[in-house]
Amino acid sequence: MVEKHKLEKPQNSLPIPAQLKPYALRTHEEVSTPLTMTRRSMLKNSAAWLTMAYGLAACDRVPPRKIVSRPNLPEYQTPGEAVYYASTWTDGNYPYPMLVKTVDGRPIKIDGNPDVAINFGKSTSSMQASTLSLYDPDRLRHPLKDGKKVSWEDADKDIIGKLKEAKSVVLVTRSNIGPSERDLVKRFQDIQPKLRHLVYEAIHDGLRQGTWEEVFEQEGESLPKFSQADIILSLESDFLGTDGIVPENVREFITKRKISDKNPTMSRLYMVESTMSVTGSNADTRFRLRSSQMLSFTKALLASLRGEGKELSEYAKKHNLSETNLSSLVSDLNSHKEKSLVVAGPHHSKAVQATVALINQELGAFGKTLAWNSKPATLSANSQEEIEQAFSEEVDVFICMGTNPVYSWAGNDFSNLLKKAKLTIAHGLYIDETMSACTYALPSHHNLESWNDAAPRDGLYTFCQPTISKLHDTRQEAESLLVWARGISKDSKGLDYRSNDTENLWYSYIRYYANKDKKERQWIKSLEKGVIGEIVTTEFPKLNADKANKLGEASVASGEYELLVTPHHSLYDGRFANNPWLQELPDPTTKLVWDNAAMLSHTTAKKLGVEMNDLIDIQAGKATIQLPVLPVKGIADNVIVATLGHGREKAGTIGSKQGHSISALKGTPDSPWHFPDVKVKKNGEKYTLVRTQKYFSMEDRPLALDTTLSKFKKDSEVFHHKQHKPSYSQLHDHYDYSINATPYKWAMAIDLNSCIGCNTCMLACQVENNISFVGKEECSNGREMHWIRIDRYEGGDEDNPTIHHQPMLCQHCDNAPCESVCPVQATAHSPDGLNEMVYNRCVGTRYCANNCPYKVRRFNYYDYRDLRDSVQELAFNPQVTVRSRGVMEKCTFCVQRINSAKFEAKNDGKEVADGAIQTACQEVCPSQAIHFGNINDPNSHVAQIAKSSRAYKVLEEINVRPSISYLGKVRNPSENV
Amino acid sequence: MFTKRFERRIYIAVTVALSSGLLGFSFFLYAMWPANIVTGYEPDQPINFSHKLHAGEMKISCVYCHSNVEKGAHATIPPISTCMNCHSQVHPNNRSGQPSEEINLLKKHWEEKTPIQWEKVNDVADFVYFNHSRHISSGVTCNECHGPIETMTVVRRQNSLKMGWCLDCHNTPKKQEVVTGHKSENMTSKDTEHLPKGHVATLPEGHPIVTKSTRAPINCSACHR
Repeated sequence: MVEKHKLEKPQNSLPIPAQLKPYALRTHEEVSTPLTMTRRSMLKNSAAWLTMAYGLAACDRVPPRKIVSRPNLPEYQTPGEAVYYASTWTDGNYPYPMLVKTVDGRPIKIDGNPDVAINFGKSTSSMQASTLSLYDPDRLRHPLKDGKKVSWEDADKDIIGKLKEAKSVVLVTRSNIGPSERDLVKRFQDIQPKLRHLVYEAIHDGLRQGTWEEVFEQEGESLPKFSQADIILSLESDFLGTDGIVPENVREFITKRKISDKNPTMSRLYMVESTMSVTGSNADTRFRLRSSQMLSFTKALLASLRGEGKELSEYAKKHNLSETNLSSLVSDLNSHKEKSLVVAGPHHSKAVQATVALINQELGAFGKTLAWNSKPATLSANSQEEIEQAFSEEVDVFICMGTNPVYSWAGNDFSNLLKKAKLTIAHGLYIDETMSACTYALPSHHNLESWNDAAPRDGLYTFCQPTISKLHDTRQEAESLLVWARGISKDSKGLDYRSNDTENLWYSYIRYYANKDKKERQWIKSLEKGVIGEIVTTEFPKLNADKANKLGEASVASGEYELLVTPHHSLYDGRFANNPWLQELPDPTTKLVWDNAAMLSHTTAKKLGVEMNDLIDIQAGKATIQLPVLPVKGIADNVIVATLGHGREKAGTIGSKQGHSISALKGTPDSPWHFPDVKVKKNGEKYTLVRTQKYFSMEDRPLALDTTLSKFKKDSEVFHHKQHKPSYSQLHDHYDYSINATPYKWAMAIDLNSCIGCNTCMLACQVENNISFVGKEECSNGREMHWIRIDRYEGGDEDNPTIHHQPMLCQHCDNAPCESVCPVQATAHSPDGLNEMVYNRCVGTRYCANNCPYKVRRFNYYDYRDLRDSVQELAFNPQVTVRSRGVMEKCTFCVQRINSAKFEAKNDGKEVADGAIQTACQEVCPSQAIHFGNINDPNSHVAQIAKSSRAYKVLEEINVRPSISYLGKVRNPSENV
Repeated sequence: MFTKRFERRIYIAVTVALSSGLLGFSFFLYAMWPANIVTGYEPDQPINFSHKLHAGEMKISCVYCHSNVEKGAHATIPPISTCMNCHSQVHPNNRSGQPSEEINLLKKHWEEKTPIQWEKVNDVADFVYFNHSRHISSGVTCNECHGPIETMTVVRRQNSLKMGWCLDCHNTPKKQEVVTGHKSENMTSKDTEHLPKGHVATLPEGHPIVTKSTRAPINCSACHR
C-alpha cells in the first residue's frame, strides 16, 4: 500500500486566497465543506427549501443581460464568427508558421499554417496550449523594480542612463529570435559597441549542429528526409517526440508508413536507445543499449559497413544485443545505399556525431536522405562556459530576454554570476526564477500579442502578427531594445526607419525590415498569407572525412549507473511549466502527469532494491538530486532517464513545486545532458507519482491489433481472425442508418499504423472543447477529463516490449449502452449517427459512464468553471458549452464543427462536401491517422478507408456497433528475424 | 353541534375559501409559468429607439441595421456608425419641432465613442446555440419569432423562446407555408414525401428546395452542444 502523499500547496508568485484558486489546485480537504447538519435540522429546513425551490423554479427568466452597440464594428468581423490570422509561433525551439483562430477579437485556437511547406498545417501540443498561456492570470502585468511597481518611463530612463555609461553590457537571449530582432541587436551593437550578445538555451542542438558544421566546413544544419529513406536507424534521436522539427519529421516519416491493401510497402525503422521514447515505441526493431555505448556502437557499425572484420557479432555478444537483428541492420543498410539514413540524438558527444556523419557518407545519404539548410531558423546557442567567460570581467548591465537561466543553468549557480553584474534586467512573461533574481523585471508581450518575423528555412520568411491587443501593461522585448537604443544614440543613425510612430516603434521597424528587400508591395498580402518566398535547396556540402575521423577518436568511460536527461515531452525545458494543460498531458510512454521521475528498467529497480514511488538520490560529481522511481519496460539496464522541466521554484500558481528539478547536476561541455557515471542510492522516503494508465497489458483481447508486413502480404484478412462478430439481433428498433433514411452518418477511421502516440490530439481536443484540467490529486482518483486519450499496450518481450498506441474516444455506438441507462434522456442518438450529450439535461447519475465499455465518459466532480481571474474566460471556445459541476461529458465528434459545416451547406442549398468537416483531433494529427466524414457517401474518404482489409472495430463482439473503425498496425521487422 | 343554518354557512365559507384559493393558485401558476413570465418582457432602454418609426413607418429593412442576420449566428446589434449613416444627415428635431433628446443622446455616444448598452429582450440560455442565418435562409421571417416588431415603440418579447415553442415549428414544417406564401415549382414528390399529408413545403422564390437533409432538425445536438 502506497502512502498517500499530501500535495504541497504551491507557493504562489502572486498570493491567491484559497477560495479563489481553481478547484484543480485545491486538495480534497480544502474542497469538501464539513457537514454540520443533523437529521432533525434537515427535516426542519426542508419545508422552507421546498417552498423556495418551487418559487425559484417558476421565476426562471434569464437574468437581464446587456447587448452592446459599439461605436464602430471592427473590420472583417462578424459577431460570433471566426476570423483566422496567419502568424508564427515563436515560443518554442523552432518558429512554426501558424494560423490563429479568433472569435470576437480574441484568439482561441492555434493550428499550423497549411500554406507553409514545413509543418503543412500541423502543430505541436505546446503550440496548441499557447492560448492558455496568453490568458494566464499569473503573467506579470506591469514592470517591477526590486519587486515594486515602476512605470515604463522611469525604468527606461534609469536603464538608458546606465547603458550610456556602461563599459560592458551582456545581452542573453533565447535562440529562437527572428531576422529583424537579430538585425536590431546588430544595430544596438553599433550604438553601444560594448554589448555582447549571447544565446542561452537549456536544450540546444549545439553538439550535433556544431560538429556537422565543423566536419562539413560550412554553416548550416542537416535535415533528415525520412520520406526518402527505406531504412532508418535512429541512435537515441527522438525525432517523433522532442528532437528537431517534430511535425515535419512525423509527416516525412509517415509518408513511407502508409500502406495500401494492394501493394503494401513501408520503410523500416531501427532504434538504438537506452530510454523508451516515442520514436522507440514506433520502431520495427529496437535495441536496448546504454547511452555511453553509443560511440562504440557507431564505430562498430561503421567498421561493419566498410566490411572491416566481424566486429559487430562480437559487439552483439558483448552488449547482449540480438545478433540476428544486428546483422539484418547491417545488411539492410548495405543493400539500401542512398535510400537509408542514420540520425543521432542532439545529446551525443562530438565523437558520435562525427562518426554518424561518416556512416551517412558510407550510405550515400548526403543529398538523398539528408538535405542541407544553410540558414538555420534559430541561432546556435552558446555553451555555459562561453557565458561564464563573459562574466569573467565586471559586467555593468546584464539583460536577459525570454530565457530563464536561473532555473535551468546546469549546476544551479547562475545567481552567483548575476551578483557580478551591477544592473540586472530580465524581460519575460512571468515572475520566474530569473525575473525575480534581477533588479528590473519587465513584462513581455505574449507571442499572440507580438509583431515579429522568422525565417524557418532558407528562402522562407514568415510574419508574426498580433491577434489581440496587449492585455496588460506589457512591452515586447524588441521594442524595449529599440527604445533603449534610441535613448543612448545621439542621433537616430543606424536606426533610420520610419519612426514617426513612437507608439509602435517595433512595428515600424519590422515593416522597414520587410521593405528592405522591396517586399513593401507584398506587405499586406504576405501578412494575410503569413509567408513569403520559397524554400531554397542548397547542395549538400562535402564532408571532411579526416576531420570527422579525428573527432571520432574518443572514448567514454562509464560507471555502474548512468543518467540521461531528456527534454520533457510537453514542458520542453520547463518554459511551459505554468500551463496546466501541458502539465496534465500524460507522458506518451509512462502516462505520468504533473511530475517527472527517475525512469529505469525493472531489473535495475530490483538491483537497487527500489520500487515505484521510492525516492532515490542520484549523485553526479558533487551534486545530488532526488527523484522518485518509476520502473519502465524497455529502458536499458543500469540507465536512469529523467526529464527536464519540472521542479520550478517560481513558475506561477500552476507550475511551481511540481516535480523535481535536476538542474543541480552539471555535465561536461561534450556531454551536458548525459552523465556516464552517477551514484544511486535509495533515499528511504516516498513520493506519489500519478499516472493516467497503470496497466499496460491487453490480456490477449483483440483491442489494438498488429501484424507484420510479411504476414499481411500473405493474408490480408489477418486482422479478422481474432474478431468475433455477433449476429446482430435487436431487442428494440433503432435508427435506420441506410442511405435512404439519412444522407449523413458521421463516422471515423483511425489508422493505427500511422498513429505514433504523440498525444497532440488530446491537447487539440482540450482547446477546442473547453475541457478543464483537474490537478494531480484528482488525476490520482482517475478523474482526468480528456475526451480522447491514447491507450498504450505492451506486448512481446518483457524487457524490450513492442508498444501499441490506440487513440480511444467516444465510439458513437449505434447501439449505445449509455443511452439506454440514462434516466433523464440526457444522452440521445441523432439521426446522423451521433451519440449526443445534453449537458442541460444531465443530472449526474453517472449510470452512462458505468455502462460504457470504452470508459470514455468524463464527469465534472467539481465546478471547473470556477476561475481565478476573469481574463481566463477569454480562452473559452464560444461554440461549446462550459460544463458545470455534476455533469457528464464526452467526445461529441466536434458537433459544433459539424453543425457549422451543415449550416453553411444548407444555406447554399448543397450537401456537406467530403472533407468540409475536420474534427479537432483530425486537424492537428501530424501523422494524419484520423479520418472523419460521412460513411453514407460511398465515395467519401472515410468510407474508402473503412473498407480497408485492415479495418476492424474495438469490442465488436458486444454488439454496440461503434462508429469508429480502427485500421490494424503493420510492423516491418526484417524478414530473417 | 351547530344549527343547520350555521352549518350551511360553514359549508359555503369553506367552499368559497377553497375555490378562491384554487382560483388564486391557478392565477399564480399561470403568472409564474415559465413561458408566461418571459413573454411580454418589455424593459426600458437607454435610448428610446422606436422600431415602429424606423421599421414600420419608414420601412427601413431589418437587414439594413441587423446586417449579419443572413450571414451569421447573431443578427448583430448595429454599431452606432450605422445610426449615424442617416442621423448625421437628418434633422435632429423630432416631428413636433422640438430638439429630440434621444437623437442628442445618440450623438453624444457617437462623439464620445462610448458604447450603448441595450437591455437584451429576446434572449435564450447559454446552452442554446441559435443560428439566425439558418432560419432566414429556410424562409422563416423575423416576425415569426420576434412578433410584429414594426409596430412596437418599445421592443417586447412576443414569444417565450422556450424549447417547446421552438419544437412547435421544428415538428411541423407547415408553419413555413402560412407565412412565406410562395411556392417552389421545382419541388418533386421526393422532396415533399416527409411532410404530413396534404401539406406542400414552400419557400421564398430563389431559395433552395427543402430536401430531406434541410428538414428542421429535432435532435438535441442541433441546438445544444
